[in-house]
Amino acid sequence: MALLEIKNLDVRYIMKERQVLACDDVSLSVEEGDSIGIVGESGSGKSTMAMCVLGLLPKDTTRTSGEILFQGEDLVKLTEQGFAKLRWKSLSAVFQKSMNSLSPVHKVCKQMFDIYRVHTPGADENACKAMAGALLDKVNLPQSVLNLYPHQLSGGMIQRISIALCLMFDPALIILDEATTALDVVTESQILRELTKLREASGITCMMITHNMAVVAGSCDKVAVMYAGRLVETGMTARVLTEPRHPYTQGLLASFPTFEGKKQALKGIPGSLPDLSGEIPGCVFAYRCPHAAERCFNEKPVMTEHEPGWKSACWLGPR
Amino acid sequence: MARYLLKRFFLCMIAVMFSVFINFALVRLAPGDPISIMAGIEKPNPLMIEALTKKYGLDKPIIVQFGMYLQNVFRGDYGFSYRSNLPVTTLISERVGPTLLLSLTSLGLSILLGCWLGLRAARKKDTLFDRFFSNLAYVLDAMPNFWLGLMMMLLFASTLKLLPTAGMIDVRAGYTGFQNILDILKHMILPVSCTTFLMMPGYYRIMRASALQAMNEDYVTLFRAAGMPRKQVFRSYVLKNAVLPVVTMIGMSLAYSIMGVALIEIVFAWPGMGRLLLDSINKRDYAVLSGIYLILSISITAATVLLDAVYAWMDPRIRLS
Amino acid sequence: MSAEFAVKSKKAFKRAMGITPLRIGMILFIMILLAAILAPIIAPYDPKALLGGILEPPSQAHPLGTDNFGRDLLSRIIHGTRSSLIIGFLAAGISGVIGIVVGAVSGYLGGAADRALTFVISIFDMTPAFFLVLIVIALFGGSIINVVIVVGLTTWTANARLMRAETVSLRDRVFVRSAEVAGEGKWRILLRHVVPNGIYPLVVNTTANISGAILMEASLSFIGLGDANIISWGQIVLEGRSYISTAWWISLFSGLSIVLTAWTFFLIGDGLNRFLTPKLQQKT
Repeated sequence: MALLEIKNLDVRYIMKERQVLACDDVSLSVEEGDSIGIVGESGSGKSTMAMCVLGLLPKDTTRTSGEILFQGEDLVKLTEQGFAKLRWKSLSAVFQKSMNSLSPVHKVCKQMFDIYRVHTPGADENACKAMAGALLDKVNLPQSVLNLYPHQLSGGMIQRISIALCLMFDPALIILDEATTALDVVTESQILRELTKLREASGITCMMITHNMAVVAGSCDKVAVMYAGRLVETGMTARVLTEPRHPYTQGLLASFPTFEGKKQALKGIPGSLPDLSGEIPGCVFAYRCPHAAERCFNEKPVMTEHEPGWKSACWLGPR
Repeated sequence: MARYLLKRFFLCMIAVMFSVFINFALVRLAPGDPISIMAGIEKPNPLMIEALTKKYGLDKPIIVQFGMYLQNVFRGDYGFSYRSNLPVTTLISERVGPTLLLSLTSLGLSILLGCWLGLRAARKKDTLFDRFFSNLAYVLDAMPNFWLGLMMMLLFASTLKLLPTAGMIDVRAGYTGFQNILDILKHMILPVSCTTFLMMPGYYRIMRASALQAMNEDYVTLFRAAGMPRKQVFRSYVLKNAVLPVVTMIGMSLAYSIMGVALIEIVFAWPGMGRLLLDSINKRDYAVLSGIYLILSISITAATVLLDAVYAWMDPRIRLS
Repeated sequence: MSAEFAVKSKKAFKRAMGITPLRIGMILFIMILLAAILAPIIAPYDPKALLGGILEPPSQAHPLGTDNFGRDLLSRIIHGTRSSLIIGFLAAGISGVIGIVVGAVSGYLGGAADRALTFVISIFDMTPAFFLVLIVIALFGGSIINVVIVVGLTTWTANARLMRAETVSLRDRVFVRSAEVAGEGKWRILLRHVVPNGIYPLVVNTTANISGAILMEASLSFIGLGDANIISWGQIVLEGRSYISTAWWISLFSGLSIVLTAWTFFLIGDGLNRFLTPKLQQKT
């Protein structure tokens, strides 16, 4: 059985005068030991999906339907107390902006110890220090950062601490939501490399949310491409990135430079995301798709499997 | 941090100098001659003229005059009221007690109440509670505090006869000891509520806004994701981050609050500096007016430096810079 | 082009009227403005006429009663609208203009000029403005012009801070940079690109400042420093103070008109704030 099985997930943001369908019928499964990258431009619903898995979407402004099976439990129906048991011991995350991911007026140690004590009540100072020491070792940080405030650390160091925090209880699944986006390229690749090592050593399952194809290419075995709230293609990274099936994946790849192969002009994808507050009967990408046929505007494409584990949602065959 | 505080201190010193300069310049720019303005009398007698001319060097060049003026201020001499035949400092020190009692009580109350309500409103954003108090804050802001005072006096003192109308003590009763304290407290209820209502909206709003902002920070998401109960996140992290702007707000609203207190004192005949101010205006006793202005400027800037130090100490980003 | 503009402004108007505080504020404002313009027509009596009946409670002839000189209170309050609005608008206007100039220059030039002006702003912020106003009025007299100038001169710092912050953030934006590269002069860029794009927070603050100025004038009048030649709500409250327990209507109604007017501009300011900074779209 898959570790995480998302089935027909719909997430709607309820606003005063309209609703936005941020995740539209998303189905995805993550096996134990997988490292899956979720890619898409901003507004594609990838972060919403991640927040939904973590149970962090605001209850009053969102409506969720479908199933998210995690270790056999349906997270969509899970209560706050239920999540409290899961969060951090079996499910943890690293979030976007590195500079604000720690409280600026508290020392690093206080923040680490507080999280530790939530799950191990009554842990004494020594136990906390031992835990923090081991974690910091894992992410190559000196013990001395414990007594510092976040503003005394660099963005890379803070993000390392965030990664250390999410490894605290050896969770079954880690979600990295644009974890390295805010960093400079050198630090980013360094941290990604260390992350891959840690993952390989401990066998933790990883879900990486990113808009950067290069991150996926470098550190994910599997990839899922999202567009306008829908999953459009998923499969092994090696296959999807070399022979993308869906026109959107093709467009996305064409807008990133490669070092190999022929010299090609970088192409963007003309147009922008469709308005998600209305019903879109056909393919969400049809309005920007260079190959769109009449059917694409009227009928919702079905996920079809080309090879085991490699699926895409497009009416047109491979070109 | 030392550098930061030094800089703030320097700024405050300049601010005081500025107030002194304004005071100095205004008397000389105003219609009428400076001597009769400072004496507060249309036709001062020759003795007065001589004394004032000598003290402020009025027969010397303007630069020297300013120097002498500054010297007097730094020596603690804020002028002499010929109307009352007393130094301005004596007049003020007689009145400063009741004013401090009134203003510090209401300042404390309005910070506590405003912050408490603001925090609740932030946690219950968009509920009836939040809407009610956010709207009330605007209505209170729109209310001239002296009018609010009059209306409360009309309602609670004149009509319902629940509380005393004016003053700080019941002179006729001649209470002593504990009874006296009780009497003062009773007299304080109306003026303190008025000044509290006046200052509260500011604290309410800034507390609400900064709590809302702090609740949206990434670290809150992290702590929530890490399984920390909402209450613990709020108490241990949101609160400390959200309270910093409130400290800044205290310093910034100090001058404004003092004005409100002065007006309320006038309404309730509270024997503080507000009354002294009104009397001096009516008697055209300029020496007292300028003395009050100078002392207020100095106190406000001193309080600002103090609050800056508190802020710097509370915020590690400044403390450790 | 003009049709498109018409559609656009119609849409904007519809959105603006969907914001409750703005809608209520605008309706109240139009009513107050009409009262000020049409004062001689709608006021039942001459506000200065002594009508005989002293301290008469509200009745059919005098809906809000009469004051201690036997003047009709309603007529006086209607005429008082004029001075309140004039003082509010002019003082807030002066404070806005100074704020724009100081803030824009400080933010755009940066460096030493910026540091110096920021220093000046901080110093002004630390002086107790109300007492300064009070001294100036006590020395120079409380004519309406003096009140307007002094209130304007002591409340501009918040505007300057806002404008400076906006200018600093606009300074490095592409359209300003490209205007610089295109060789437009500094002052021209400030006037044509920076100020028009950064003025929105100032508009909001200035609306609130109108209330502030009206309240300040009322306070000055209440301590007897108002302009004796005009009809001012603050002065009416002061007149009524001596009769508070017998003729409560004098202070009550004049004070209520101050509250209503000040509240109106706070509402408009709050509404404009919501109109000009639309809620950030939810992250998806």
